[in-house]
Amino acid sequence: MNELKDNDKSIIVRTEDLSKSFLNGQSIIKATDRINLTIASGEFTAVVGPSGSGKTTLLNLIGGLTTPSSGKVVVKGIDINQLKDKELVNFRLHNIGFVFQLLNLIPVLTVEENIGFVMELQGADKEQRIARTAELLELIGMKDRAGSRPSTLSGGQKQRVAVARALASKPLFILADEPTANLDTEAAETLLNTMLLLNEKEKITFLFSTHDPRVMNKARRLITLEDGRITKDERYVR
Amino acid sequence: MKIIYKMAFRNIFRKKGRSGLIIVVIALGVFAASFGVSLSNGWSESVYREHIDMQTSHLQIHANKFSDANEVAEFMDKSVVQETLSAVDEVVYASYRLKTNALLSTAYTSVGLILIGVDRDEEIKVSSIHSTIGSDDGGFFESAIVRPIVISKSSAERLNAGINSRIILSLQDSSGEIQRTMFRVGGLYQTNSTRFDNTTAFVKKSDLIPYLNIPEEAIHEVAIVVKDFRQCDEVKHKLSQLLPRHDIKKWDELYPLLHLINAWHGIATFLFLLLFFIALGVSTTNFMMMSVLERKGEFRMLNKVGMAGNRIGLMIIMETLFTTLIAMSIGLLLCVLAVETFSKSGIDIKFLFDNDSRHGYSTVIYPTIDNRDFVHIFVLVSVISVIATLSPIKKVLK
Repeated sequence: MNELKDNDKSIIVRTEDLSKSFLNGQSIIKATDRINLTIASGEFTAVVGPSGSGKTTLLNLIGGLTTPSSGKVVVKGIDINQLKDKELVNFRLHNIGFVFQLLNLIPVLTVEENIGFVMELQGADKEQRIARTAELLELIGMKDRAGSRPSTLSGGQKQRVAVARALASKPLFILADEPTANLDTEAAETLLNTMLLLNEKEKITFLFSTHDPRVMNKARRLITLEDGRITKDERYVR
Repeated sequence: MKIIYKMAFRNIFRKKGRSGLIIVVIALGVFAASFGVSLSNGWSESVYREHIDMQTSHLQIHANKFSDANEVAEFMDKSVVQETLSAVDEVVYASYRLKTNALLSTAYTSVGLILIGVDRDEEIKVSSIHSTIGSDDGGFFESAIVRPIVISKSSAERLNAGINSRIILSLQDSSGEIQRTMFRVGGLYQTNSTRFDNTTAFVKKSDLIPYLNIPEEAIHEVAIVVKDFRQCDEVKHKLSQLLPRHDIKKWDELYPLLHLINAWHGIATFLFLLLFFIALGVSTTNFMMMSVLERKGEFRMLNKVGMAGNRIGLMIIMETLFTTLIAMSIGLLLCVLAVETFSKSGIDIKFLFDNDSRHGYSTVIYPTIDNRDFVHIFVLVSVISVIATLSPIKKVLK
């Protein structure tokens, strides 16, 4: 991974000595410690490691949701930590899709409105939104639930809608924090297959954190974190 | 952006019980405030109407030097004023009066008051005094009584006089000579103003003029009624230009207390609404604070996926505005219904007063509210509800 050249056009995310420390009482906890990492377009990467190893912090740093203590995150050649708050929100809106472990969907919007939400924030026109939403509903196999409210969906269905929402605006990459953590085996399987399908079909780059072996087995690249440091970075052909 | 309004509207119905409660609270508050304003309007209008109908008319013209002392020698030429008024379209009716101080005496006692000489046909068009005379209390210069005088019931009591009683009238003519003559009580009126009743009596102009030593065409006062109450300023301005040597006053200038009542009404209404809006603002802030704080996680998620803080703020503002608009519509509708009901039957507040006192206005209030009041309440409630969201927004965006 790290041997990829900086001028490689396929690299969309690069971190340089990325560190994040938190103060816990009198002691300083290093959630991530000088992480150097590049993510290329089209990758399906899982960040794995035990609880507290810094997976979520790393994803939050890459997504611009947390400010690093030192180092930088460069997305599409832009050091996102140099952006002002408003610029950063706008940058995320147009470049990064998010899937969270919980609380992904807007309860007052229907499934199709949730999927179209980010596109509407981006100012996409109605026709474009409708077409893209229909396409994604088809892809995640939830066309019949288009008008349903999130409260009527199962956990797995909610996560699939969240994935569809994340990639509706065709972002540069999608960050998913423990997307299968609250799902049963079948729902997790379905979600992973959906993500893989989208990765293959739409060439969407996925970077997700997990400690779920089912997810690890599907990933084509596994980055292992321990105590905030990368201990392994392996690629697999699946 | 449409999605923000959609979310804001639907968020109202997420916690139906709580939203319902705040809607009821605001609706009742708006109803109380607007109905309070309508009662206040009705009361002040009743005061104005009473004074205008019974005492001042819309405008009055006097000779420049004519003052509250009612100097007989300071008269105007009726034909000059009449010709001028005929040129002003807004003027509908005018009564050309004589006015002097007089002493009314019976064998029992004497009372001093202001004597107004009127032409019945002119007077009944600008004043409603005639309508306050009961069927057993004579009339307003309609009977065959020679030299009739119309006095108030309270003056009659003081003079121990009744219908057809003889009253000796003493007054000073324009040369300062004292004139005495006898009148008979032809009618007993009673307005809602004890002060006015105790100080005013009416005689026919033709019966009074021989004792004043002034020309036949002389008049002391012209009471004017214009087409529309709101034209008073405009007519006053016109008349001031046409009759520069005359003193022209509007109803509220003629009776300074009305000025005070008018100002007090404005201040009281403002304070009343201010208190209401402060209470409304505090309860709305609390409601929104509760509502947004429990959705902090959701707002954080929205921000992560690209919804900027200003859009989140807009959504909270719209949510509050929609809640307020629903509540305001209910409150204002209740007010319209209440005003519609009580504007016909009136609300009698007699129980608030001691039975015998009359304060210059009817105790029956007919609530009234106009579109301007609705617009004021609408704008103020909307503004206050937006202000009420600032603190919750600040808290959430932190």
